[in-house]
Amino acid sequence: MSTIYDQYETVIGLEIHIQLNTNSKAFCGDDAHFGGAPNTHVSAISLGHPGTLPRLNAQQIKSAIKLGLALGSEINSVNTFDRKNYFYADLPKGYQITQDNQPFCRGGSVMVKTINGERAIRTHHIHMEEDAGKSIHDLDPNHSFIDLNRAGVPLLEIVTEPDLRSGEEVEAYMLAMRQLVRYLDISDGNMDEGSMRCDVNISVRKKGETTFGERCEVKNVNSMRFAKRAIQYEVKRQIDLIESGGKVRQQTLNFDPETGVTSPLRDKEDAHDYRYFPEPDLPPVHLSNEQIELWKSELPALPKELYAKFTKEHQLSDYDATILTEERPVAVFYQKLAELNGNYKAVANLMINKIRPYIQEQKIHIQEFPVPVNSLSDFIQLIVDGKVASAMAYQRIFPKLIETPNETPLSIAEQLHLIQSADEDFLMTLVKEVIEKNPQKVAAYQKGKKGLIGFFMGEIMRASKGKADPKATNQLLGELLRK
Amino acid sequence: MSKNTTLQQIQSAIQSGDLTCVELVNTYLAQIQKTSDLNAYVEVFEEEAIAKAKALDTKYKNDPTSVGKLFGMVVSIKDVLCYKDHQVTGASKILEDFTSLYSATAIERIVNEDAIIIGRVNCDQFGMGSTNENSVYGVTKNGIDPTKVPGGSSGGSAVSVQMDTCLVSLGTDTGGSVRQPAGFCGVIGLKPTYGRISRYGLLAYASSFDQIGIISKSVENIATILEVMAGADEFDSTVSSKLVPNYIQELDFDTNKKVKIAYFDTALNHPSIDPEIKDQTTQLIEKIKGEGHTVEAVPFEYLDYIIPAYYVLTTAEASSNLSRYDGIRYGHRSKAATNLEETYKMSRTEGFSTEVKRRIMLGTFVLSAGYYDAYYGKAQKVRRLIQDRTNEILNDYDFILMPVAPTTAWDLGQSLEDPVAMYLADIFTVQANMTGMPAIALPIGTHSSGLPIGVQLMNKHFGESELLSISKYLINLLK
Amino acid sequence: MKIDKSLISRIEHLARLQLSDTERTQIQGDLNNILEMVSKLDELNTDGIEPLVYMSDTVNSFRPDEVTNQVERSDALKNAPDSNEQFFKVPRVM
Repeated sequence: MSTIYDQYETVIGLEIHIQLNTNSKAFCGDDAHFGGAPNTHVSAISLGHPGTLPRLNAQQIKSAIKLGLALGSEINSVNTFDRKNYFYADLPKGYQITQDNQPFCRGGSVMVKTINGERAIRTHHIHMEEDAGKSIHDLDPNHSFIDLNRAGVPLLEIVTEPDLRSGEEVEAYMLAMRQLVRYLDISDGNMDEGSMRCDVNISVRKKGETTFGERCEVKNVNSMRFAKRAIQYEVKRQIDLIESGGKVRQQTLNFDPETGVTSPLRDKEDAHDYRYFPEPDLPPVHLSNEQIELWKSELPALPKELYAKFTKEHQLSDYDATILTEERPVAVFYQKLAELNGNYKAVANLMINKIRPYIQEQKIHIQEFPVPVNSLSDFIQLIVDGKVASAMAYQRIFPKLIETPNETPLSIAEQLHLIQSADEDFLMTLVKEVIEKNPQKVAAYQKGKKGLIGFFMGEIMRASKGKADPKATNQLLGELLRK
Repeated sequence: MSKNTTLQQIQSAIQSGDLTCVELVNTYLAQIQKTSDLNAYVEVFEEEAIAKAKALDTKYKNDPTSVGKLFGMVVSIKDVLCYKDHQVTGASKILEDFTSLYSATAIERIVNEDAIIIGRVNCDQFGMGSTNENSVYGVTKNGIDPTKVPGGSSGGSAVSVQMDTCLVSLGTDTGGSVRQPAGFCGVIGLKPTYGRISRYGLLAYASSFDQIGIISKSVENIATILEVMAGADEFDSTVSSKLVPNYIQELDFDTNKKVKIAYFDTALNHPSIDPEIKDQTTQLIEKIKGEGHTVEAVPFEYLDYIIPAYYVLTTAEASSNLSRYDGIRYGHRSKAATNLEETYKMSRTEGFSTEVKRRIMLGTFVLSAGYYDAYYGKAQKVRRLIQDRTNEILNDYDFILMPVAPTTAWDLGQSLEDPVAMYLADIFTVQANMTGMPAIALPIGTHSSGLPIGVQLMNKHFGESELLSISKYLINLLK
Repeated sequence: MKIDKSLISRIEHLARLQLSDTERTQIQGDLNNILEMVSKLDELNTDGIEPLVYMSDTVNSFRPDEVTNQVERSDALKNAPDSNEQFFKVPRVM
């Protein structure tokens, strides 16, 4: 049953802030890492002391360009900085150094999986800026406490076109962006720690309309779940307002996760007059084509590329390829293993069913996985060659291999007596035994109940303690039963 | 002490055993005491200077080759230059009791070469003013006539040198603040090319105009200290990495070489100019011509546009640069403030002088939404016109010659009645800051009132060598 | 261009100043005089002229991504009008 809400379309644009994982801050040598006791990652420069000046972090530029290239953006060859002037206790200079006029990157897009298939969400631009410090309001009834560790940490801001149409799409976009910045190793994209933050611009319009409705901005949404809830609330609020004859006013809003409600942020009338002007303390950055091409050549293979390779060349399923490309270190590990052992499906199975769960459980990086890749390749080969039953391999050999990674899979298999035997005499004894023990079943089989072969195989495998080579056993069994 | 003492002369005297650093410092300290009525010094580093002098004397005695290039040089620094563990206040209340955590790069360099910093001198608040009457420490008086201003904003610097309380003073020059007081006080003041000396540690007034300037009674001293301070700095993105010439070696003017000097009719015949200044400048021109050099009038149609453009651009940058003075992390915080907004508004209102507030307001206005293009944008374009035209002139001429100021030093209190008139008096000095070119003020004579008259020379970017050598030449010519 | 009372108040707020009535009237007058002086710039035709923004030829002034030049917390806080051992303190924002 269609409701009034179904007549409307949601239009969303995002402003995503990515905190870069550089060693030092954007414009001075303070430690940029998260954590650290309050006011210990500071200097006269980040404290905004008299006479101090900014100096640009070379790594910040590289990270910005990497992201721009990954999104297919146009990279500006002449880049400049601007001052955004406003007063707040955690903004030491009374202005933020940002880019208003000539940002590093323009255009490009991110592909997002939606219910209607894949869509490109276009990037308006990407610019560089610096983060503010932190104000803490709840430690003292009469005071706010200021910690400037974060002041000056380098940020990239990605501004999208208003191409998103639902909270689910927003979540998909944010997941894709998080994956991308991790792939590029420019940020850990961790929303809990604030390395990825999001402002959501929301408007509504009647379906079929081409002009945009008035939008509201929900600031500083710090989880994807909250983003979806905020969007849900705000869309309904706007539609209700319009339907009751009101008009949506352009406002800046705050989302309260406790109540699930958006409300206007105070004192924003003068927020629009930031008096931007070119930052005189920072000269322009000129990027040559050669430099950009060099950085382009250094880009790692991106999720999309790897997904295509794994599905088209390796014939992996969408499910397998998606999991394997989720995080770059896992994809890289898979590729290394796949290069050694071309049984892609078997490699994928091992990765997805055993290795990945293990590292997640142990809370280690895949680079710390104890078993060397050539051992793992040998392990897979044992199964593929039929030397060990796969169930036995996974359940018995794999754990031992982790315990004693210096031992080869083959020697472990031998120690555990798991090598399947295709030895004729050995098998002959077993098959004859089982046939002799079950005369009625043999008769029934010979009369036409071909399904009973499973029963015989099961008995033989059990009697052999898994060592019987199934193929050879099957063949022998078939021969003897026909007699 | 001889009026034209150079560092070389001091170093010779020390070498021959006629002088020690301790004696030198004590002489200066006594002179500071004697002239304290002029109120040039905000703080005298008496104990420190003597201790440093003692240590240097010992160092010299143990190994005369171990001392730095500025051994024997005693320097005063304007209260806008950061000196580690010393107070710097910009002559303001908002920075009262503020102690700097670091030294300006220029200060570090001179200290590393064994200069002795004897004290912090008075100035107009945050460099804003032309009379040194805008200071929280009161006015500084001109030593030649204490009823007159010394000029500004580096008035304290000029007087400290004028009265022989130090050999050199470091000031700052954004629109003439080193050259004009040098002119008013009868001493020499150099503003180097923008980007020649690092601005790290200079309390920013207008970022694209500010430069540390040098005041002394001899060109040699200026050349010596300039060489030590100039050059690339990891803390300043705008500083030039151009090689620093050996200014001392290049100081001697080749008298066989004839130069071409331009001057502006519009300047010499400006309605505001004192007739004696015009006369003496004209006489100087004739004298120079008499030596076989070319001195010609050249059209410069932009003279009257320099001040308007200057005040739009500098106040805009200043309004932003002064935002950090907010009572939050350092400096004065109003006791009456009960919330964050009040902390800002009351601390800043209490902490800044009227002149500073006036400029902040103007700067905020010209940057604000709706007015940016008409004012700031426009002024930036005018700046381009001025720089291009000046470059054009300096392609054909070696130097531009101009008066330092339309008048000699004003009476104390005279300028405060009309800020616009005071702004317009910067007309001759501002061009060098608008274009970023180096310029120097030289004393050329005395007015019938007894007050000094100066002249200004300007040349192309990074032309300090030529500028200093012709200055030395002209000073000798005038002896 | 004349600056009226409401514009002056807005500029005051943007600059975080709180002028007394006398100061405000004085500065308002001064600003209007200065703007009068500044209006002279309108006499110049600047069509097609590139604004002069950067005063040095320097471009690409970078520093390497290294941690350096930090200060001790005690130094960071030592000039603070109000602080405790860890934080700068300001009156509550609201």
